[in-house]
Amino acid sequence: MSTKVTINRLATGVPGLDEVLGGGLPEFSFNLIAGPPGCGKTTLAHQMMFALATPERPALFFTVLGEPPLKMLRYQQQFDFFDSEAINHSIRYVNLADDTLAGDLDEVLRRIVSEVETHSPALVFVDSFRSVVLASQTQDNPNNNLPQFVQQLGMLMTTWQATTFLIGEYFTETDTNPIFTVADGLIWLRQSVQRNSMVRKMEIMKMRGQPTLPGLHTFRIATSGIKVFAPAPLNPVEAPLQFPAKRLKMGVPQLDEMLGGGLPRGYSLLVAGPSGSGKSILAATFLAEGVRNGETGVIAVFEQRPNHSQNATLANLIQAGKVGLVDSRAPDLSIDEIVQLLLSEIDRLKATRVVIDSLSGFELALAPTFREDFRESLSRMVTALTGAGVSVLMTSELEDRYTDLRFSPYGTAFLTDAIIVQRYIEVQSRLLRIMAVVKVRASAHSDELRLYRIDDNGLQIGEMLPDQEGLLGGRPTRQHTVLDNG
Amino acid sequence: MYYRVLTIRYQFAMTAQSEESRQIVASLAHRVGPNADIARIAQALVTTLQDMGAALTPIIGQQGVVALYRRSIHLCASNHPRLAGTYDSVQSTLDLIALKSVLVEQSEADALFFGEVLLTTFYELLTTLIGPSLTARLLRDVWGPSLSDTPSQEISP
Repeated sequence: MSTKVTINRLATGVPGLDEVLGGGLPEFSFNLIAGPPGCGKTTLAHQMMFALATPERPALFFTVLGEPPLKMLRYQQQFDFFDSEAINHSIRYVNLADDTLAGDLDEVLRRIVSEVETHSPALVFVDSFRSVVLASQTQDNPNNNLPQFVQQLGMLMTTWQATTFLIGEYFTETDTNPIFTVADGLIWLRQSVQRNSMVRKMEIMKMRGQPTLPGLHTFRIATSGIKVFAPAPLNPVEAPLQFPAKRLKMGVPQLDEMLGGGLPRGYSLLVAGPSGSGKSILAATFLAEGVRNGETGVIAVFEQRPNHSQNATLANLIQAGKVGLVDSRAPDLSIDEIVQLLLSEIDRLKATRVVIDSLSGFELALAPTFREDFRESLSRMVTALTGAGVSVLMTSELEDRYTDLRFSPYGTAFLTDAIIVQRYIEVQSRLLRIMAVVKVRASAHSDELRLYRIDDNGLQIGEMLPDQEGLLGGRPTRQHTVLDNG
Repeated sequence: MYYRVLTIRYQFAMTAQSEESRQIVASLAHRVGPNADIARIAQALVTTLQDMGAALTPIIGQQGVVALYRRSIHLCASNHPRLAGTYDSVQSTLDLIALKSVLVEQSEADALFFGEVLLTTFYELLTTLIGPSLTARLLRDVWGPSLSDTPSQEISP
């Protein structure tokens, strides 16, 4: 039997936060929630409080100077988690404005301690702690006793078995603020503004004894409260690919042949081509073929008017619930948010086929602050999706440049396991389409450039053009063979 | 005299008919008791205000309560010009001793009407700020105990 202390971890009730914290909030910890005005500190505190407080484990919320309590109650009520019945029952508000105004930290501490002793709360919140700091500075005493105050508060709250949150603002990260040393946890909220876009980010700068997820995590505030988009957990033991790999039919028999028998399951496939070359049609056919074989799928559409770009087959599949639609037109998306939307839809439908249509739209949907890291983001998305065991088809708009052979505008071709490229060519005053399989990882595939056309039944793949050369340049010429001369 | 009280009651009932105002009026009446002399009315109103203050001060602070009280007085005066004189004389601070001394100079009917309007206005003001359910939750104990021992009308055969 282990004689080490067991630290209970509290479920915060904030979606995604427990994952970011590395498994919940350590009980009896002394935490600081910091960040600039309007970044959601008070909301975060309230959401955790309403989730955690029970009559047996009540919460005390000390309001100090700053946001007037009337207003705080008025605005916090707008969130779904706010429950009036909990007030004065499992949740108690205590106003310390008068004590703080006097600037006597000893008196503030005494008030807090006496309330804590009276109510024995399991959770204590002090909002906003900055007011306490400021009040202490108005004292004539130049050696203000803030460090001592924080030290004592931290010690008292922990021995009183209360999980404590100080809510503060304006702290600079490099500050040698005594709170940083005493606190067990530092939750930093930020608002990143770039051009017209604003993205909320959260960072766990410190959480003693916890394997927190490093870095900035995006979150949103909606009427349901705060939702943190934790990165999708990577499955450390990815299911080994079966040999021979099971292959998925694409819905176009000739294309299956070209791919060497279909798309290996769990592969990511990039379909690159110019506008109007039939990428979306191929994607819809891919999903429809899955449904025909009893599979389900998910499509993420990043277009301004998704309903207008859908073809009838796809619309019917979505209507019938065989294909899930991820159509987030929320502004300023982050990669983790999109991955989470996709994974929850995949999970809901037990989907095996996923389509992202298109990467160009996806890039536009991302908040500008993430666009610089687009390749990285894409790589994480592909890893998360294929890690979930699904096969992914992504379309990519390709500007037709006849002088160079490119497969994606992002230099992302290496991220995918398979690539199909589509191009326009000019032959005898007609605009024809050709298609080729460029890559299928660990598999034999066709090297043919095949003509294809689009009709009411989808893609129809035709023959090669053996008597033409220079197809990839867009303006092929007739081969001059010995036969022609003879 | 009694007729006049009834008339005022009637007027008041026409202006505020919510369940909460009925509860507030009933609570005040219960605190006043059967012998409604002016001293008891004044005392009942003052203790009700004290109880409301006691319920709200820990949450919104002393200053918050005073601000709500002043706003209530102001709203009462503009909605009921007939009593404006009375409201004017109790304005400014939450001085309940001063309030009491003003009240005892009124007729019983006026004092009761004044009290009912003031409490209802205060309640409705708080409702506009933090919503009906939270207001009811915070002030439940102010009306609660006095009403719990009055026979419920629903139980009538």
